[in-house]
Amino acid sequence: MNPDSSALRPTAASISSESSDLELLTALAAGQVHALGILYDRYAKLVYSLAFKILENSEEAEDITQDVFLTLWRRNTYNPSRGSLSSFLTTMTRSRAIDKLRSKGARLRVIQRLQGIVRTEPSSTTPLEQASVGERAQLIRDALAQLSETERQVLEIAYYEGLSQSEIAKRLNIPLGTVKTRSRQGLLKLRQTLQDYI
Amino acid sequence: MTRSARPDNWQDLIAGYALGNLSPEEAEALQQLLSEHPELTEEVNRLQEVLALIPYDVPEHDPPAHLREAILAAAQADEPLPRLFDPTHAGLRPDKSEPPQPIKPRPAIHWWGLGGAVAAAALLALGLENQRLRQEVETNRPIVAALQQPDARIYALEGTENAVGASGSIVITPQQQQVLVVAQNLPQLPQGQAYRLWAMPKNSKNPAYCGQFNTGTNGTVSTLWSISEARCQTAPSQLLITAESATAPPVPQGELVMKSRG
Repeated sequence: MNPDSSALRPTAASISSESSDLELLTALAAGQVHALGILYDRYAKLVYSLAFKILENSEEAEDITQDVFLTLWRRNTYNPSRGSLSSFLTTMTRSRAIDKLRSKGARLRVIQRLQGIVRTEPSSTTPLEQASVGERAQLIRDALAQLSETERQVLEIAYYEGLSQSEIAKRLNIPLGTVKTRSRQGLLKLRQTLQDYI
Repeated sequence: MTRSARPDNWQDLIAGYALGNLSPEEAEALQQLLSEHPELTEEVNRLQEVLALIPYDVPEHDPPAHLREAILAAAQADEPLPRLFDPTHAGLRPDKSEPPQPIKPRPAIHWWGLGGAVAAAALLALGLENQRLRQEVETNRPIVAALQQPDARIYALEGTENAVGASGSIVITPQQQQVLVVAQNLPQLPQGQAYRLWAMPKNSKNPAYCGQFNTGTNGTVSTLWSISEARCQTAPSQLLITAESATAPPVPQGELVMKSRG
């Protein structure tokens, strides 16, 4: 007994480049490759650019991008109650790119820095999720521009290179306590600037 | 019971938590803070979201044009999953004459080269109800896919004295960075608590936090999630499950409930 479930699936015509992430994910779960194409058009540049920024290698950035989108397609483990799709994709991209960097023995040995906890509280759709990718980028740039150069530097080294606090302290030749203070202040400032959107 | 006021540095603690740079003393202070002010968990989530936005600022590079086609073609080419629990297929494969693949003895069972039937048998051996699975397998595509991964690694679990009747298994797929937990007869936890999974890395005494879950009302769990923590994936020497406050910092403090055998 296996009733044809196609009647339950959204039809290809019902999704478009205007569809929300969640609508596209629903279509994705129903096996619509078309939905993956639209999500790719929306996020591939972000994913690829992030992977390229971390790995500084276009072939590896391609591999990561392929890996991230096919994981989204095959595993479909994104859970909207745990945060935005954008955050899911950038977190996965960063994590895989940094793993790759480490596996190359490039310069890293320390485990995850920015991965904190598993989220437990459902969050509703934020204004930021409703903004287009281009609008989001502009908001973030404006927010980052309000950080001091030193706050920004510490946050970016931690994010893109996955260095530990003590490695950052050594690199920048500043005390460990200063690294902590700057990164925390920087993050809180970003949060403050973006408070209407998150 | 009166709630104490938030300490002056509560934002600092939460930011340090999101950034992963709390000292042990700060982690303790934060745990205290979150147990008294569970609503602050939401603020931690927001900080995580803020962090995940940082890459929007990277210099933009367009991926090569062929990549889109390659990804969509690979997605399109994915074979539909076999119906593992379809009675007409379970246990017999009438039209395929492939010889059974030898099972190599290994410390943890790898499923290299073994098909879905083995995955199915293992699942059934876990005592999950066959009927329910047959219905769910269609919708549990991610779980079935995890079981089919060539690098899937399975750990049998046993209950400790805190959960004598509990049994189950954990499957870790390093390549897909996923963990699947199936267990039964776990005690139901009070509101605000959760089971947490920890991996003991080889050559280290510090358990790595791999995520948390809760049981259904009947004490069973069957859940799959993504893990990015490398120490959870690279052949941990043992897996442990404890009962913890759902909002506590990722340091094991609660009772040990289950552990992997061997």
